[in-house]
Amino acid sequence: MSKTTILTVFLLSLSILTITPCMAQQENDQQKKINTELEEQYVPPKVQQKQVHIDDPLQPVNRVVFVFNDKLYFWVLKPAAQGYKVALPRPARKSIGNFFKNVTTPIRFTNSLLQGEFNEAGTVLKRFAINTTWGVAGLSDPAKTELNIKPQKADFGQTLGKYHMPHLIYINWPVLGPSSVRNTFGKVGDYFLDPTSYLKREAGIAATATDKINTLSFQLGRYKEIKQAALDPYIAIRDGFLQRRKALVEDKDERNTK
Amino acid sequence: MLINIKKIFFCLTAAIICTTGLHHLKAQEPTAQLKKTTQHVINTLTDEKLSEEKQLKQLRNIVNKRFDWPNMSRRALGHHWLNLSDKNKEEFTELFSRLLEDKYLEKLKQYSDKTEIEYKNEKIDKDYASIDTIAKVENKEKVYITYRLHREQDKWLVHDVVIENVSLVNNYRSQFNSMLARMSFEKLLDKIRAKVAK
Repeated sequence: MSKTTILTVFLLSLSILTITPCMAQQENDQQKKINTELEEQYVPPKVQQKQVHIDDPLQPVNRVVFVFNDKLYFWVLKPAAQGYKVALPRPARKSIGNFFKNVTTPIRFTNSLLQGEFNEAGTVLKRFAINTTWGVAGLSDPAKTELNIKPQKADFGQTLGKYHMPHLIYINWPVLGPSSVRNTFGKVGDYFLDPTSYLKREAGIAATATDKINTLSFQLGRYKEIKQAALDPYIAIRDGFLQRRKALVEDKDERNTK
Repeated sequence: MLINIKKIFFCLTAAIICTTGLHHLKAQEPTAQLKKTTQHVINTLTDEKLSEEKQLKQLRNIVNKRFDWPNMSRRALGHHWLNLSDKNKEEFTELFSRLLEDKYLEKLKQYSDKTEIEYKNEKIDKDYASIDTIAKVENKEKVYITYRLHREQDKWLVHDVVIENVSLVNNYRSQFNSMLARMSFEKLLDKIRAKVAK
């Protein structure tokens, strides 16, 4: 082999080596351009709301549970809440709702502290003091209606989210509904902070059932509304759960603005 | 020399006033524009003289002027949009707008002429804006809707509606993503068609 051939081979390989990454780069740039185009067009800066994603390896099981929960809602919970709604006028149901909210104060207080939100914790405590006395054992909410001290939301699932624990995977629990690994830990944590958990067994179950049916009596029709508009109700509800939790963790829940 | 400085100063202030003035004229504030539309919708919804058919037609007309359907469709389909033919894009936009319109109007149906709507937290970032609204419906829970808008010339158009913290466009995007992994685009269109026809 002459020196020139070696040189040519060397130059050729060199050019190939430099051109190929260049071409790859070009392709990359093109992909990038499409991506940024998408980003710019579909996700506006600052006022954007990013898509949330969750792994759902249990989807086949979750979907079965979804059907079960759906039937449970329409056959048991909805009729129960409807009857309850007829039996009790709105002010009475509001009082019951207020009472349970007041009783579960330890959940919100502890989690506000854990999140380092000391102002919020103070507000929670202030509300508790006012509503337990002036509001007669928490049956009414003069803190909000008279003094405009708005209720705060805080739970252990939110605390975990604020410390950047990921959702891990989606779990659709029977009866309890949409959740994730993070939120399941959250619920367990909240359980221990909830005074009604320390009632005797039957009383505890009765209290929880009343609380749930009472809450539901204000939201009748909402599930049906979501289901009706959805093309894939399972995904619609999973995504709704994620979006709501995300807003709560990022303190963007407008229902919670001070 | 002194006159010159005065002249320059005068010109500068004139220029500043002109440009800021023009800038202000460029677009009415998004809240004002949105207010007009929602008020219009509520007026139509509570107008008992209208027949149901006429009412719906009028409502669609009002909403169509404020909502940017092609934009919403593009957002909802994400990268799937890029692979579609123009005909498919048009068809999808038509069907999807119906779906969103129904959902949105259904939500607003609970509003009455006594409903007070509070508009707050208007955020503007260049050509994008977001506005939170809280509607106090009599004897019912409050309704929280956030509108996301963008500017097209002097008009602010809605490209997403966030109801109780759930963005409709993002919610449908999750559904479309999941469905298109399992079925063809044609099948998806059929599904929307069936939903809208109900």
